[in-house]
Amino acid sequence: MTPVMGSMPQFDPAIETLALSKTYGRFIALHELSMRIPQGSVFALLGANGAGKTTVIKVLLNMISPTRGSATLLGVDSRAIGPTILAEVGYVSENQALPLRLRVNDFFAYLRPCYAHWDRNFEDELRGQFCLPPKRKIGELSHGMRVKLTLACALPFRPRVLILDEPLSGLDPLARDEVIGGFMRQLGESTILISSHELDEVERFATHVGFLHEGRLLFQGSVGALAEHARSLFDVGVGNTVACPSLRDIFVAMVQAAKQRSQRTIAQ
Amino acid sequence: MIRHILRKDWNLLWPMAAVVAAIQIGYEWAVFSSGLFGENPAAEALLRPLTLAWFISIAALTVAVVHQDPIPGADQDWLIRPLNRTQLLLAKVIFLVLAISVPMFVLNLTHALAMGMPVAASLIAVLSKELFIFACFIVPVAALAATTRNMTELMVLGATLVLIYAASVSLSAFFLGADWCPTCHTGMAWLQHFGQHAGILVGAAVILFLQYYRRQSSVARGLAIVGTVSLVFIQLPWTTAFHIEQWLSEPSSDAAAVVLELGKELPSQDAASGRKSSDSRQTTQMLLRGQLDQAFVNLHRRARPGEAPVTIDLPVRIIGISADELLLSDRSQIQLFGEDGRLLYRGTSTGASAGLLAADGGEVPGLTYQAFELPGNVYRNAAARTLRLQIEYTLTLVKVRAEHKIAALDGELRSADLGICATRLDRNSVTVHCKSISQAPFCYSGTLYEADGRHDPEVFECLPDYRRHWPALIDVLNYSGIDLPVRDPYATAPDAPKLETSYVLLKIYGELDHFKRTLTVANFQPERWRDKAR
Repeated sequence: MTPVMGSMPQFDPAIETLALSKTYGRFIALHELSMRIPQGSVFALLGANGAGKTTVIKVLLNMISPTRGSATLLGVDSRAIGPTILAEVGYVSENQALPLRLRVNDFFAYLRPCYAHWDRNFEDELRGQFCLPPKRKIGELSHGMRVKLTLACALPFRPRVLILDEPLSGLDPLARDEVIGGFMRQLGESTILISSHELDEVERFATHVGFLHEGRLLFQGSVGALAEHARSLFDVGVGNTVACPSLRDIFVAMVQAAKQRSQRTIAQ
Repeated sequence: MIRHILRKDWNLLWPMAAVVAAIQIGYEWAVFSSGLFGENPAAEALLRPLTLAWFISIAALTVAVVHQDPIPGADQDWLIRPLNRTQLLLAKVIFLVLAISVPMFVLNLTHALAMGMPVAASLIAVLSKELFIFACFIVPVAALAATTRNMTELMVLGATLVLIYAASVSLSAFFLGADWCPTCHTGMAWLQHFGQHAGILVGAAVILFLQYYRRQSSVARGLAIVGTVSLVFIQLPWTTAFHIEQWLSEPSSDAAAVVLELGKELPSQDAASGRKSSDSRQTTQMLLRGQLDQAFVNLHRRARPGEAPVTIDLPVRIIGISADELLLSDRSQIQLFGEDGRLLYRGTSTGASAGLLAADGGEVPGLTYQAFELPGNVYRNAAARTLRLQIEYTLTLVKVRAEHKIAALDGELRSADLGICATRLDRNSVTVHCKSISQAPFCYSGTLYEADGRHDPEVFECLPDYRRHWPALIDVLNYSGIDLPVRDPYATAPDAPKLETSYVLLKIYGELDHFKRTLTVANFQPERWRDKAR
C-alpha cells in the first residue's frame, strides 16, 4: 500500500493513475501504480534510472498503452486523449525525437498554428532568454540547446499541464539554471509533473513528491507530509539519526526499507 | 493543419521532389527522342537506368515524407502535438500527389500531345496511369514506410518481404508444380494481376489505418508478411478465371460452329536424324539468344533421353473458322487413360506457339499440331500401347476488327487502334512499329504485298491478353510492332519484291468468344506422334 500523506485537494486531480501496470514480456515496468497529482502542484516523480518514471509519462501521453489499469490526464483517459487535450499539455523530454533537419525558426513556425493560444511575445521572450539560433538546424544543436528548444516550444501556449521528463539530465549547471528558470515561470499557471533522479535540484521547487522504485510507488504526498513521514521512518525504520533529512536521504532510506521488506517476504 | 504539415514537409523535401521531377523529365525526353525505331541511341541507352531511377526516386520520396513523422516508437515529437491523425495522413497523401502525381501528369500529357495523340484519349490514359501508380505503387510503399521508423528499418523489412516472397514462390512451385499459377502466361493472367493489385491496395489501406489510427506496428508488419505470402498462394483457379472472362465478354454465337478433330498425318521425315539436327539447332539458337535455361533443358534432354520429357505432336484439324478468324488456345488439359479406363497422366499446356492454335490457310487449311510433353517415365510405359487421349481446350476465337495499309518503306500511319505507326527496312525485314495512347492490340498480323497483289505469307503476332484496360506504369504510350522477313531486300534476284511500291497490310484482331472444346483420340499410340512436327 502506497503511503499517501499530506493534504490532497478534493477537486479533480490534473493527473491520476489507478492500478496502472505496464509489462514488457516478463518484465514489469509499472506495478499497480495509483497516483494523484493535484492541480497547480509541482509534482516531482523521483526514482533511480529504470524505476519507471518515463513509462508513467509515456502512458499518460498515450505514447504507449498500459497493460492494466488506467491513467487520466485532465480528466480524460490516456488512451482517448486527442488534439484537444494535447493542446493543453506541454512536454519536454531529453529523448524527444525532434525533426532534426528543420531549422529552429521553421520549427516554431510549424508549431504556432497547432496551438490556439500561442503567445508570440512569450515565444520571443523565451527564444531570447535561451539564445536559440533561429537559422540553425535542430540536428546541429547541442543537447542542452535542444532541451531549451523543447522547453521554449512547450511554454508559449501556456499549458495547463507541463510534463518534464528528465529535463535536467546531462545539462551543465548554467543550462540547468536556465531550464529551471524557464519552467519556474509556469508556477501557479500550470500543474507541473517533473520526473528526475536529480533529487537535490528538484527539492528546490517541488510541492509534491512521488518516489518510484522498480515500478512501484513507495510514497506520494506533499513535501510537508514527506517530512513527517521521514521522521517516522528515521525513528522506527532504518535507525538513522539525521537531523534534517534531505530528499536524497529520505529516498535512500525508503529504498532500503523497501528492499528489506522484499527480502523478508522472500525469506518467509 | 494540413497546410502547415504540408509546408513543413515541403520545406524539407523539395530537393527530393525536384530530383523526381528531373528524372521524369529525363525519361520523357529519352522516350520522345528514341522515336519509333530507337533513332537516338544515346537516349535509348538512358531508358533503362532512368527507369530504375524512376522507381527508386519515387519510392525514396514516398518513404521520406512518411518518415518525417514516423509512426512506430514512443519518442516521436508529433505524438505530443495536437495533431489530428486524419489530417496528418491527408497531409502526406496530398504531398505525394503534389510532388509526384501532378508533375508526372503534366509531363505525360505533354509527351502524349507532343506525339500527336488525341487530347481526350490522352487525358484518360494519363489520368488512369497516375491513379494506377498512386494506388498500386505509392500507397503500398507509404504503408510499408509507415511500419518503420527510418530507411534502415524499411530496407530490413523490404528485404525480409522479398525473401519471404521468393521462398513462397519456390515452395508453391515445389508442391504444386505448374499448377501453382493457373493463369500465368495466359490471356487471363490480368484477372490474377487485378486481384493481386486490389489485394495490395486493400492491404496497404488497412496497414495505413492500423498505423495512423491505432499505431499497431507489429500487427501491421505481420499483415505485410501475410499479404506477401497470400500474393503467391492465393491464385485464381483456371475455371473461375475462364467463367469471369466469358461473363465479361459480349455474348456471341460465332464459336458454335467450331469443331476440333484429329487431323490426318502428314508425310513424315526421317524422325531420328530430323530430331537430332532440330534439337542441336534449337539449342544453338537458344544459347545465341541468351536463353540459357531453355538451352540447358534441351541439352539435358539430349544427354538423358530416357528421363527427359517426350514431345508429342498431334495433328489437330479445326473446322468452322472463317478466313478472317483465328483460334487461340488459352489452355489445354491433357489426360491419358489406360486400356482399363484408369487415368495414367494429367498435364496442362498453355497453348501452342504463343496461343495461336489455328488460322485458316497455310499448307493444309485448318491443320495445326498440338504439341505437349509427356514425362519420360509415362512415355516409356505407354509408348507402344493403345490408349485414350483426351484434350480439354479452353479457346478464344478472334476476328479481324480493322485493316490498315502502310507503305513498306518509310510509311506512316495514324489510326485509332494502332496509334502512330511507321515502317522501315531493317536488315532483312520490313519492320512496323507503332505507338499508341490506348491499349495496344494483343493479336495482329502483317502481310507484305507487292503492287501487283502478290504477297508473302501472313506473319502473326498474337500474345493472348484479354484485359479491357490496364494503365501503363512508367511510359504512358503503348507499343506494338511486327517484323516481316523480306526474301531479297536489295532486289538483286529477278523475282525480288519491289519494296518501293510494296505495302504492308496490317490486320487487327479482336476477341469474339471464349469457349471450351474436347478432343478425344480413342486409339492413341504415343510413339506414333513423337516429335512429329519437328
